[in-house]
Amino acid sequence: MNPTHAWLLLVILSVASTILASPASSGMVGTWLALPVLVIAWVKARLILRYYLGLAAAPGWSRGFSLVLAIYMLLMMGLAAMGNVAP
Amino acid sequence: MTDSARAGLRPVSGIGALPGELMMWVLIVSELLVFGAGLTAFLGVRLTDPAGFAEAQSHLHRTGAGINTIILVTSGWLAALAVRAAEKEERARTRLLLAVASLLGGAFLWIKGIEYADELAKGITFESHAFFNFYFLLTGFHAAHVVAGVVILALVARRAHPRSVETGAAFWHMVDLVWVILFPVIYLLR
Repeated sequence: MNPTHAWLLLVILSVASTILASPASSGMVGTWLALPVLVIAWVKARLILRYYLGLAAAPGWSRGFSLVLAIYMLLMMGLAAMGNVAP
Repeated sequence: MTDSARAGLRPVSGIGALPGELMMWVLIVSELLVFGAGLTAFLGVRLTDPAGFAEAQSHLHRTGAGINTIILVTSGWLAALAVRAAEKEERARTRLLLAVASLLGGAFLWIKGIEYADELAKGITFESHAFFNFYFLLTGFHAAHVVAGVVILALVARRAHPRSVETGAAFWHMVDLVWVILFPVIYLLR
């Protein structure tokens, strides 16, 4: 993958997460919304780190950043689920 | 990433494996920690008033922020292409790519400005609700980084030296990276 492929994926994922979170197009809230939206954010962060910042050439660092970001996203997911407002 | 690194001359592990300037990576990690702490605090305080946070969030421009995300990742892509052009000593192309990347940074700030102006017109301020404390603080701090990034991209475009272009682009990617985490937490989670 090169930066252009990464950019295309970033655009597609950005549109997807915005549509998913739109009240008009999806009734998803709380945990059911937090799960896909934060997974998409994690994938986007990885794409930027690997193909914009060049971490694809440093696999150890890439894995380290991915792991720490995944743990952080899980924390965010837990907090989002606890702060869920019932529809 | 420099040509020597691409040619396999850079170590594949340890500090030396990191592409670009080490200090830029220190900055990237520091900024991620600062914004990460801010977003964690945001979701933590949200637990005390979920309904109030949901109501406050409904006043935000979700679509505008989505468009801004696309603008920023596109600008980051152009900055990444500029690094490659600088390595090939294609100075005119490097400058053009950095100029368009900077202009897109300006477009991001313009849309953000419209968003802020609309919120202020509705009487929404920093003190309207805890949600807006965090919203103005985190998005305002991020916007300040965008301003700095636009200036840095313009500065490195002048000489278009590969090392400085790589460092300037890394700062810009950091701004991008922070936004792709901030955007869903502030604007999308309901």
